[in-house]
Amino acid sequence: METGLDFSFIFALYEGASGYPATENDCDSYADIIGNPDFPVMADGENLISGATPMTQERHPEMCGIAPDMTIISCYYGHGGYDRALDDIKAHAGL
Amino acid sequence: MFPSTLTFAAALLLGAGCGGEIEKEGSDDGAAERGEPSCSDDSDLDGDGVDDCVEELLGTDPESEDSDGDGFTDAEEIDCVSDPLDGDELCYACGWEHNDPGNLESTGSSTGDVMNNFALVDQCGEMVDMWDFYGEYHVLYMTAAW
Repeated sequence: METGLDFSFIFALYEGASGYPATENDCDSYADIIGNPDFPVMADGENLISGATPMTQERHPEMCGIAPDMTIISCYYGHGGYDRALDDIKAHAGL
Repeated sequence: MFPSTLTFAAALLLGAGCGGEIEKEGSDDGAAERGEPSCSDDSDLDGDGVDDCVEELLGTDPESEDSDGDGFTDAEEIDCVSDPLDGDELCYACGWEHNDPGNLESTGSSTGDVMNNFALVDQCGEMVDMWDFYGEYHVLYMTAAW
């Protein structure tokens, strides 16, 4: 999708395929599954993201738009959340 | 953390011809007496791929290919956007840049806050600081692998 905006993903897994807290092996495997992307796939088995953002791990997927200065722009959940987060990022960037 | 991205960019620009205020060998003009750096065109005493002029500008050791002794040459650290003067900061294996400006302060965990810094392991098996993703828009996407 052409957005006219430089942005990237940061993927974070809170649980691995086994349902246990995600580990390094889980993010390595997940990166393989999604084609070894040029963005980070990280393991958050200790729930650090849910402590640092409005995301709760009660639904998935969840996502937040993050500004260049690391400000949390907005957060959503569900597969439609990505488009809404991207819209908010574009608005934040003045596009 | 790299001292300054602007400094880094300036250094690269100056590297081609040793411009700016750096004095060149043979045209010292009293620079040494004034404590200003001096260097010669295109010289690279340590052979690390970073011109001595640029090393002077960065503060790295022109006679050591690895100024901070962390196992990565100065050139490698400049290339991967890691601080060649900080032995605790290494190039990320996955290629992420160290973009934490060093002056961020978390304001909370709600919308509108500067998020907290923490480190997570990535697909290359390294701990990566979130604030190293400073400087670009991101979608932080959290899910489960199942």
